[in-house]
Amino acid sequence: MDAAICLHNVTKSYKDFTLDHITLDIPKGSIVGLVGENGAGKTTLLKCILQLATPEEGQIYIDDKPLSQLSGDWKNNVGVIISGIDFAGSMTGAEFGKTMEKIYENWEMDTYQAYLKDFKIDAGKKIKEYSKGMKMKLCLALALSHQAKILIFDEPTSGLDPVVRDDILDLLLDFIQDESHTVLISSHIISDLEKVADYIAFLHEGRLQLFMNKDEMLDKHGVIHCSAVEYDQIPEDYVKGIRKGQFCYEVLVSDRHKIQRELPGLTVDSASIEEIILFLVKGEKK
Amino acid sequence: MIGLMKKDLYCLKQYFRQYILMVLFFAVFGFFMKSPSYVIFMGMIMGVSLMFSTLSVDEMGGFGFSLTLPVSRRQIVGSKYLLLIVGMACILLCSMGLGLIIAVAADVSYSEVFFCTVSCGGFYLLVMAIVIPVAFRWKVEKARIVLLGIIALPAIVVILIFRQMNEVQKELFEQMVEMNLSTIVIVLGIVAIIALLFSYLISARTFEREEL
Repeated sequence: MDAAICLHNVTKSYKDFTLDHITLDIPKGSIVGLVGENGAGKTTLLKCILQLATPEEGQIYIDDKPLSQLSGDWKNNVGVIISGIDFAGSMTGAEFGKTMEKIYENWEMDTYQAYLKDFKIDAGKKIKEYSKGMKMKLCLALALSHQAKILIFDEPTSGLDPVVRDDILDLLLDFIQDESHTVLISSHIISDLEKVADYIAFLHEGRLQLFMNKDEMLDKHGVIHCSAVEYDQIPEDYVKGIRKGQFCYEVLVSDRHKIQRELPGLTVDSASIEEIILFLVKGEKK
Repeated sequence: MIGLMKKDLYCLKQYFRQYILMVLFFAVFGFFMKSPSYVIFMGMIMGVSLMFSTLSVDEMGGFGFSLTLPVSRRQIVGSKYLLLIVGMACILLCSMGLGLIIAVAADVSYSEVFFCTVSCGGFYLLVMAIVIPVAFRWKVEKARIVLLGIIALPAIVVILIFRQMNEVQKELFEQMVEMNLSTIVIVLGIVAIIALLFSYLISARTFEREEL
């Protein structure tokens, strides 16, 4: 598997939080969804990749080259949405494009203008007068107008209405049609990731709890609704989390087809990514 | 670097009209006071405030955004200093022009205009050389306090020294300053340039370690 971004034992400590020895390969030609609750370390991880924060330990590689040995030019190949553009409120969309033209080596003004037109963004209007969705679309236009090969987005769909979210996700799916392109996207909205991601990376309290192909994740995991007696029959190795109700147990299992074969009396339902994550975070362990 | 400066200029655009109106107001005031130095000095003070505005904009997310662009941290810092120098040149040229108009209209010596322009330029560079690294290290609000200190402290010291002097000493001091005007200006200029170079190095080092 060819990796576009490779993290090896990346550790970054703050006073009350540690991103703890993250090892993760982001495969080229895929969309990787980074999920986790607030403060799980998603933004810190993205900041480490983008050199906004410096890890104390570990190494990050971009296209097999250590990040520490790359010059600032490597970001010509990266489209980023991480901090918003509220600071540039007094600029217009057109002025923003003119500024970026002087910064990105491969800036394509025609592409940028075409995106503004597609997104129905008034290029002559000041950015502070744009709606939240429009600002996000402007950021997308920026990220997609300089021949980027990697997109790194932090919560791009947060706070947006379903139509705008859907537009953004469609753009990501278009972008990934080129196999040399890669997307790393963090989001709280798991249904969005369920729609577009090829892989899911789940961070919890600064640690990478799970990194899996999304289809495999959905195929393998299942939820069993059972009694306490039935629960005792389930082998411990397969149990990933339990929710104990007054009359019934809900059990997340990791290999549902095998469980189904071994315990045909139990009904194993499929689990959504959201359910899997909730079980992993809040569920009890056997 | 040009792109970063362009970004700063576009962000500052909203203040330009205000700035021009204020300078014109000070020019009218300076004309009635028959003091070209007044308009030059006030122009410089307004220039300092413009520089603070760009640093504030960057603090509100501009630095974070700039770091996602294909530019190095040193280039980001360098663009601020370049903007400072270019901005200073524009501001001083404009206010010197207004000062000369006032000097002609109010029949004041041209040499006062030139001396004031050069010394204000030197003072502006010196002040910003101290304030910019402070802003990079401890943010703009603290830099504003330092700025007030830099302007107020020398003024207080000069006032206190003058109070201790008798009339003869004051006259002697003024004569000494007048005789060595060109030397003072040259020394101020050299000190300002050296200070600016050190200031850039300190700011660049600070910003290279900054986590956003």
